[in-house]
Amino acid sequence: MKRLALLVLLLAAAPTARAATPGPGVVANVAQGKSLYAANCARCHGPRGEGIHDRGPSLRDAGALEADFYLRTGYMPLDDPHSQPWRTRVLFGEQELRSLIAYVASLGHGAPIPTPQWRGASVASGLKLFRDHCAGCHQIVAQGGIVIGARVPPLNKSTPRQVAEAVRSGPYLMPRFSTKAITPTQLNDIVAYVQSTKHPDDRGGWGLGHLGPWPEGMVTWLLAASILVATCAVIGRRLKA
Amino acid sequence: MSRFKDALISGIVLLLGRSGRRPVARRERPRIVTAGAPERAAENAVLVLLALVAVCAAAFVVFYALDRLGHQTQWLGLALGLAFALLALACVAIAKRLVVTEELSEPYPQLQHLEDQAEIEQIVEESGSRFTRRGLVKLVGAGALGTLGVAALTPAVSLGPVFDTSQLARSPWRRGLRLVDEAGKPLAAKDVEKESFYTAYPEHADRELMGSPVVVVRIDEGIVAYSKICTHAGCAIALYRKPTFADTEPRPALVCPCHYSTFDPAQDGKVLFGPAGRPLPQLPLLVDGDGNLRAAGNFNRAPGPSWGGVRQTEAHT
Amino acid sequence: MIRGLVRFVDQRSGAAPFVKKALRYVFPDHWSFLLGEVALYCFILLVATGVYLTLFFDDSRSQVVYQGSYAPLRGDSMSRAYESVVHLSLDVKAGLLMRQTHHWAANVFIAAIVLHVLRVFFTGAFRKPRDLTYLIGLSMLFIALLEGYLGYSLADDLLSGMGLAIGNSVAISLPVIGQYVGALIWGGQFPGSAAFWPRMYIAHVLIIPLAIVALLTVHLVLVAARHHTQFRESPKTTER
Repeated sequence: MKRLALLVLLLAAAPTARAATPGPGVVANVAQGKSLYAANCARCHGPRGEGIHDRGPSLRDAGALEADFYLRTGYMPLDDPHSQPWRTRVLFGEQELRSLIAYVASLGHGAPIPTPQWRGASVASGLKLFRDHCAGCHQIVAQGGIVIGARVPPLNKSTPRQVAEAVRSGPYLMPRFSTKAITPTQLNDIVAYVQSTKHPDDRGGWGLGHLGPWPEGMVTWLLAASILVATCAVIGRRLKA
Repeated sequence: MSRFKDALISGIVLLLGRSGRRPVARRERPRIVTAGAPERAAENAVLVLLALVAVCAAAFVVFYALDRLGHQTQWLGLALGLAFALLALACVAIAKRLVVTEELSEPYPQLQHLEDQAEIEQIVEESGSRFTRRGLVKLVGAGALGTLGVAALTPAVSLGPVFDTSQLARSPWRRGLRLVDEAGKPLAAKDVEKESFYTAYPEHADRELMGSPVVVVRIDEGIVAYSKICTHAGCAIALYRKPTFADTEPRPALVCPCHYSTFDPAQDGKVLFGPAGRPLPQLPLLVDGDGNLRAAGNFNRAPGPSWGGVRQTEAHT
Repeated sequence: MIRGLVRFVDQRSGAAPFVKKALRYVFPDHWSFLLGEVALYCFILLVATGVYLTLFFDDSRSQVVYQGSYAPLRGDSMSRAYESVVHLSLDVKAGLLMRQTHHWAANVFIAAIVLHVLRVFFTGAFRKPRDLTYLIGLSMLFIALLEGYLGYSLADDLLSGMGLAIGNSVAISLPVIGQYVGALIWGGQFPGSAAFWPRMYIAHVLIIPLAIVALLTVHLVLVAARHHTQFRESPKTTER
């Protein structure tokens, strides 16, 4: 009981602790965040988040938005600063994550965690926006792809919040879109569209990964052609002498 | 009722009764097709298969009639596909088990008919025996038919502006034309932010033209605009990469999704990677009094995929 | 019943000797000779489903705003051609089935022709006197490829547009004659004149299918006239 009171006191005393939406019982602890930062991030991002040349960028204006994105996708911590961050298993617990995010947010004046209101947004408008801004790299139903210098991830595992964060921050080689380029309403529509791509309306049956001609070619040659040749072989078996 | 019953019974007897009769006259000729013993099992199988075909075909009609059937396309496909597959199976069973398989040999037909060939030659020769100057007639005839053929093909030229190929370097941009976005709103210079990319079109021009769409980006050196059409095979350049951390990540570049030609916006559209054979045409820009972006001229190179003479042809309106 | 039918046909066409020969036509007893037939049935399927599709497809490129049943596209501007395709696929019963059958029959058509060509080539069945048959068959392969390309370009979706752009770039990239060929076919700079789309449509629906039918008829007549080749006891070479 005394320890809990101490914790609450510490939190009240830390003016820049900004947790996103504190769930029941999970409270961000900036001090804990600071020690987690020192253990996992300072090696590349510097002891005070100022960045280290050729290792990691400055986190001064990353804010809770970018910290939340990079940490919850498992992009960070990154083993090799020259490799592309990719979605991996998150080893931090929920409380540790919130603490770390709160600490990184406290380093500067970055953006807060967004809360996209995508339910009820227009999927049709989202499709158009996604097609114009995103589909070039991410593919029209968000299956991912490549751009020269990086793999482009599919979005089937991205939560609505992560989509919004990625659009606003432009992780790795992705361009960033401010509220001027993509308004909050438009962002909601895009998120709604991305959500819809996770459950595509495949009226035609098996979607073949939604990748178009080349899986169709595979099915034609490996499945259909094999079955037809086998059928010919069965029908046309040589007469026994 | 009993008349109907009589008619029905006699109908059935007549139909079934037919299978036993054989016309006597046919027995006098020797058999052409080899005889074979009946195979009841195969016959039964064929009957079952054909009955199933009827069931599947009927199912297709039923599925078609239903209005709110989930996965209707798949049910329809299954019913029709199965109907055809079972029909095929029935045919295979008939062919393999019921129709007698005979091994026959037959000589190949003659490779050629020398006599007839010679006679044809002779007929042609004799038909034309009244000509005295064969060579000249052949020459003039060939000339006549040849030019007639050319004349017959000439209207095909009207299909397109075949000889006016400077058309390929056309672009609607000219000095003073405003850049507008997808919705027709003018693109303001201050709205073009770094690390993002924008697609723009010439105001009041046809957006479908090859030279219309441009990609606008702001880099360290300022705002630049390039043709959105890749100089390799004409796909729309829809990818833009920008480094979050310039120390470890590649420089900003416009990339084409088709074959990944990569262009550097900071070096006049120079090709950094990929099969594009020439740099991306750049559109010179100016900012007008209202702060909106306008073209300062046409592209510095002909837009679109490359063709023989493209480097020597300037983009023109 | 058979007798009546045969008499009817023979009296009006004199076809009885031909039919008799056809019924007793000797066919080689190896399964690889059936591959050409697979291609033939694919073609028949394509024509049958294709006719159905023409009854619903509108080959117009005029822009419309979609207000149909597929929510993600509502409010989007698209061509009438694409709209008719979406309508057929999603709002017409069995429409998608016909379209899918047409699409997959086209893929399998090409695969079957290629397998058939491979069989003919590696068993030496293309040699004289069947060299003309073989050349006709090869022409059909290339025409079928062109036909398929025009087919998926007609739907006017993303793949169609990019495909036509690339096709145009291939045409104009030909040395010396390239820009003339490109300007001729497209009627100028890509995306071409207003006449380009209807020309593509009529080529796909009438001109090329007629060409294939004509070539196919000659091909089959030649095959039957010269008779099939046949393996010897060991299926390694063919006899003349």
